[in-house]
Amino acid sequence: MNPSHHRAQPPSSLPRASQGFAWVWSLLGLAVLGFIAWCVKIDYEIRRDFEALQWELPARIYARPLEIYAGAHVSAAQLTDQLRRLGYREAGELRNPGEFQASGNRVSLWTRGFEFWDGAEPSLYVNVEFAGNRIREMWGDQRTGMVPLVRLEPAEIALINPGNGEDRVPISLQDVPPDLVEAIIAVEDQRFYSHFGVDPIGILRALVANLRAGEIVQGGSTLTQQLVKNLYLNREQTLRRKAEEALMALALELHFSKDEILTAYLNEVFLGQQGNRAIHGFALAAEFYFSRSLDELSLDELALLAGLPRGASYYNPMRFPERAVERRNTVLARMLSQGYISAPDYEDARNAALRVNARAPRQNAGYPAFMELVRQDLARDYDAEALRTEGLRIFTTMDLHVQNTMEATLEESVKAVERPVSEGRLEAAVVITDAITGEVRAVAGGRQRGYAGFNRALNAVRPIGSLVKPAVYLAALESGRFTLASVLSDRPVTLQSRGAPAWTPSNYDDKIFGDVYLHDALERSMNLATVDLGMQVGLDKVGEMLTRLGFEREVPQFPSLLLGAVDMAPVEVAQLYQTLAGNGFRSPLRTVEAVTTPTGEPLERYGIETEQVVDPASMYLLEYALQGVFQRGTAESASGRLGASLPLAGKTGTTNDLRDSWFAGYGDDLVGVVWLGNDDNSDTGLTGATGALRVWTDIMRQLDIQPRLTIPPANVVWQGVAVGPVRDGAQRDCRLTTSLPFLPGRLPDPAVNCEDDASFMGRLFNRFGDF
Amino acid sequence: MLTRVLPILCFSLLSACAGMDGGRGIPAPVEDRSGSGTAVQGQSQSVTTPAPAQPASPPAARTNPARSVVPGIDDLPPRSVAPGIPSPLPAPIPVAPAPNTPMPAMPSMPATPEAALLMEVDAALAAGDLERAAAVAERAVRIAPREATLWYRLANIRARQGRTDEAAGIARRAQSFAAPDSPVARQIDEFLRTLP
Repeated sequence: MNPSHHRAQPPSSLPRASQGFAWVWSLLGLAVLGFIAWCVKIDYEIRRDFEALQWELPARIYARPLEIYAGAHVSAAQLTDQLRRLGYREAGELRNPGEFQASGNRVSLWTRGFEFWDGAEPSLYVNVEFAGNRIREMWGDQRTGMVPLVRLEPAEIALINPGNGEDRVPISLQDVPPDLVEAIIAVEDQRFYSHFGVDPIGILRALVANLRAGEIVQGGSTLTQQLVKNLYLNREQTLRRKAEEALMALALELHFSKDEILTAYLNEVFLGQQGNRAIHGFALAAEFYFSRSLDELSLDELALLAGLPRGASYYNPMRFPERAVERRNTVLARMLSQGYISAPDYEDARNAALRVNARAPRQNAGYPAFMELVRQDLARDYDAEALRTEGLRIFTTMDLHVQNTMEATLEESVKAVERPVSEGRLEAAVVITDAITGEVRAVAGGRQRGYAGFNRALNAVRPIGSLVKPAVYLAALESGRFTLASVLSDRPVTLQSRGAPAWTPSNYDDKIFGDVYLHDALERSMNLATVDLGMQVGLDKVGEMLTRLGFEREVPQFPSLLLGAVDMAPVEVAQLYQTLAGNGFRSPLRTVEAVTTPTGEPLERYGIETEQVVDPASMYLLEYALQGVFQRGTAESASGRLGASLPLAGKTGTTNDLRDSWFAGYGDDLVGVVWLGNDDNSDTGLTGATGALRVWTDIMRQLDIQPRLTIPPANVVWQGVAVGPVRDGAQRDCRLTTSLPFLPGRLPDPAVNCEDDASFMGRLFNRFGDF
Repeated sequence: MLTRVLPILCFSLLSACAGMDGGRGIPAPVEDRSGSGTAVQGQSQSVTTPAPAQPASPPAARTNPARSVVPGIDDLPPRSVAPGIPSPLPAPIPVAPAPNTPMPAMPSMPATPEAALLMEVDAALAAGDLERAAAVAERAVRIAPREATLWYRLANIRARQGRTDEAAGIARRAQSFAAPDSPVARQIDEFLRTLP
């Protein structure tokens, strides 16, 4: 009692002794009442919190799963890479899911199965045989027989973390291997099933052991206490707090079953740290340390995990393998002494080599540029809170092989084209999409691998230069007033438009080509001829074409638009060229295919959409010229290196003072857009052909881009035209002709047509050609 | 009352004194920020290179899914060139059908991936799960993107879902892959006509 306090009491008429006695009793009564109130409050709190125990689960982002079937464009190396990334283990004999075996052209694997948005993929054993870059055939075993196709589980490429940084994969008790439960009980809390929340025997034993040792060597807290402690991790660790925790443990045991408490413990406990991501629960720890699921782990591996709660950092098997093995063996010894395992099992597990991941699997930092696009797409339907806390599974369209190959090629490739050499200033952006569906396969926001800064693929909005020209020529061809053999004037002009200074465009090297064919002007990217054509077609028609092809912002209606004075981000350019690659069918670029709950129930699916925005015949004519870019035009330099991938279609782009170097091109399977430039918008010394085209070629060669096999529309006819473009029929020279595609009713001008009535034979021949 | 509360209090204090900290218990996650550290793996991974697994049953013969090889633009033009004068166009570049290695001719089996997926589409439709049917049809489209029938199938499902705008776009795409005047082309025409 505080004496000064005592002195301050007012005088009383009661005898002093009895007065003091009453004082003590009333104080004690108050304390008891207070204590009871405290107990009730704690009891209420723990019940409320435990019942509402719902972890904030990060959203998991997956790449698209690898599809395996005869004929698939997948090499053996690509498959084994993917299997390793998924944590499949190379084994001499396949006994379990998650194992594979590779030799030469043959890969055998046992898939794990996965809950996809469109149904469950079973776990299957298959043999796959390769021929070059393709799968030649695939078959199962006696039980499964023929297997027409198999889908691997998707690789996790990112997480959207809750604010507290906690990550976990919730698991129910029946899915936890019994060995793990026994290991934990053996080492942490032997009397778990018999105590009532706190374990007096354990505490006394710990106390004795600690006193004897003169330091703390043993703890007496039960799993229940540890769980409580973990649930209120952020609170200070005072004596009062510990008493509170013990009370809470008792209350927990009073209201909940042992299984409920054990399940919560298995999911809650902290087992590792990666950057600002905290690894909680044993299911995630199995993935984190072994890249495998809990039910695939052997006794020694389970024992290793069971040893981690005591000190996940101190016993971190990635950093301190000896300590981790020692701890594991302690766990195994306890299991043996308590009769959970037999002596031979113990010996085997004790001697097992430690086989944890050398490094934690790459998370978040992995694909920031692609992820920004994913977040943009998701923002339409999901708020940030839902993404951080509800454990959504998000299935993206990223192709890991395309993304990784592109990234691995990009840095070296940019270095190789940079002038002056190796300044490291030249920046890059790449977008690769599926030519058919518009699904985004890969994105790079800078030259550096995994670059997480300014995302140029989305945010570097630059003039697109000659990349705009296909829109000009397509508008012209579609108008019906022009053919591939229309004669354009490539001569200097000065254009005056309202509200803008006079504009005098020129060709890239100030050459003047005079009269040229329309297809030639596009293939060789002639500026003056394009201005001639565009002014005849009308700026409004060109602007409208850009909108139809998929450009969503307003198009500036100045004559300089015709040479690309319209600013776009690489991803916007990719949309335009995706529509061209789709033969005039626009499919909005997408990064997300489906969203499911943590257990795989579908929430949202974003399907293939496609809308015809240009007639196929005009598209076919345009593509003739865009293939000509590789065969005769500004991308001819790349054709030697692209070999068997030709024909391909594409277009170079260069802006004033060589500030931007662009290339956009496509094959049958992929569309790729490459931008190179300096962040300060200075001269790069590169044209589209000397910069971006070379980088594009390096990447697409690695990806084995597939040639364009465009089907000509039924009404296309081929006609010979004079090689020399003339406007006056009298000068026509039909000794040399070029055969070009035309549409009926839109045949070449008589001045250049070498298949007039005189060449009946040629027409006949043409007919035959159609059959 | 006191008798009930006292033991609890005792245990609480006892356990508090038993030292829950100090190497014991669950460390706070802030404890180590470099968890992804370096190191590991003292022992070598025992990687044996086994004999290639023999399939329990003889490998089922299988061919590539039928791929209609369509010529590139440059394969097409019957060149009408003035007699005796060589064409100024470059020689057509031969377009190899995709695989680099020739595939041995094998008897074709019905179980192509597309056929298997179409069966799954049917199952989903039978179960009344139209969106799942669409998802599976799209999976088939990705595997064989130039098969008019697969696109057409997808268009059908979208129409049944009442998503007619999407159905029309997809049907026109299907039409662009169909051989002119083929039965499927006529079916698609009919389908487009009947769309509301």
